[in-house]
Amino acid sequence: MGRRSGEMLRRWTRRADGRRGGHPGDERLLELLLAPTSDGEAAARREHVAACDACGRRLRALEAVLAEARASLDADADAWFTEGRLDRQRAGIMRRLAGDRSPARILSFPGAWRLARPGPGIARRWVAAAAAAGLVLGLVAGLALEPRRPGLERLVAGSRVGRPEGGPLAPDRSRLLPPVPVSPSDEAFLVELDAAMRAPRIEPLQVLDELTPRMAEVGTGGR
Amino acid sequence: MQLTSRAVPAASEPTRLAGLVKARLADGDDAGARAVYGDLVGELQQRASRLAFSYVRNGADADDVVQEAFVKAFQALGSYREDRPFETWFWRILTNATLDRLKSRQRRARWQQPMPDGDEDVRWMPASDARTPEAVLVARETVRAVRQAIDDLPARQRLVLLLSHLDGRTSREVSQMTGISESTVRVHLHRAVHRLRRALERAGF
Repeated sequence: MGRRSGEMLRRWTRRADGRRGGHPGDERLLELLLAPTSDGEAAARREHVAACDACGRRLRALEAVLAEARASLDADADAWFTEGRLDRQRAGIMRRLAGDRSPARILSFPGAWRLARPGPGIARRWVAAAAAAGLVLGLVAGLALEPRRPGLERLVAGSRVGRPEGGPLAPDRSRLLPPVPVSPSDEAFLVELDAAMRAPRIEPLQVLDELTPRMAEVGTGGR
Repeated sequence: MQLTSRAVPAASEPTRLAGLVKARLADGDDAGARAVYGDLVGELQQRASRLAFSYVRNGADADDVVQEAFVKAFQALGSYREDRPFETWFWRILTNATLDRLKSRQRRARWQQPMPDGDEDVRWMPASDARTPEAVLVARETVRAVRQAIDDLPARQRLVLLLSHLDGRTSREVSQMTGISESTVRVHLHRAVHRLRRALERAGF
């Protein structure tokens, strides 16, 4: 059979997935390979393919393509799952199974802050009393060492000055905290921010910032 | 020429091992059960990994899925009936795990920019060097088209096709493995076959 006539036959046999002149199309042949059934139609198709040289060749060609596709899929998987990876995978499974039998463990976060239990010789109430005493001593020492407003006068002043006559409790925080420069408005804050961004030490970071794609740009550019 | 389904590999050894694991667990011999289960993992590990890899198309994900499936299978071994093939039972756990992983990946993908697909994702190993370079090239393109068509299939169609094609399972077995009814499996297969045929046609096969 010449090349041209072979090509015509191929086109003819694959054109429709139904039957034409008794020859099944590619789709029916693929079904024979991938979804075999035992119904009468499939049996007739199998009989035809067994008897028809052209359909037999076509079926073998399709089978070869599928086999190569399967081989390439397996090869891809095997290239990833090397012997070493399979060994590690198995070890991971066995490790998880071994851990599965032990009771669930709750990890504290952060682990280093976990309080150690007092030893059996120390009563808990003494630990609490020592902690309270330390707190009181620290507070008294801190107030005593305050140069501008010694003693308890500062606390008293803070609570007295911050509350208007008959008004709700509203301590004057400016009396308790060190003075912090507060911007008059958001506008001033943004001006300060701009000034900070123009500072020379920020320039290298600005270059990096410009190189970093924005989410919006990425979203539109990638589509 | 083989017109019926490919022979299903005998499930007797995994099934026998699974029965042994169950018996040891019933005796309270946990360490012994795990040791036998290790042999069972060795029996199915490569095929499970191939299937998971073909399905999720990512080695790390496939590794996770396989590990998860084996751990889940061990934990659920009490519900396994020894008069049925262990593989069928396990494959169902594995396919559920792969479907879960795909769903999870789709959720993540909604918040991430997808990486561009490269040709290196589709590697092809020539089956024979005896053909002419032209024939090899044409065959390579055809196989590439088939693989692309498989990758582009909707999730369930791909799963059904891979189980039928890669693992040589009948529609009934695929139904048992996936929990999809046999008639629906056949519908998925027919649709997948239709797409494959169109891909072959486009590739000039």
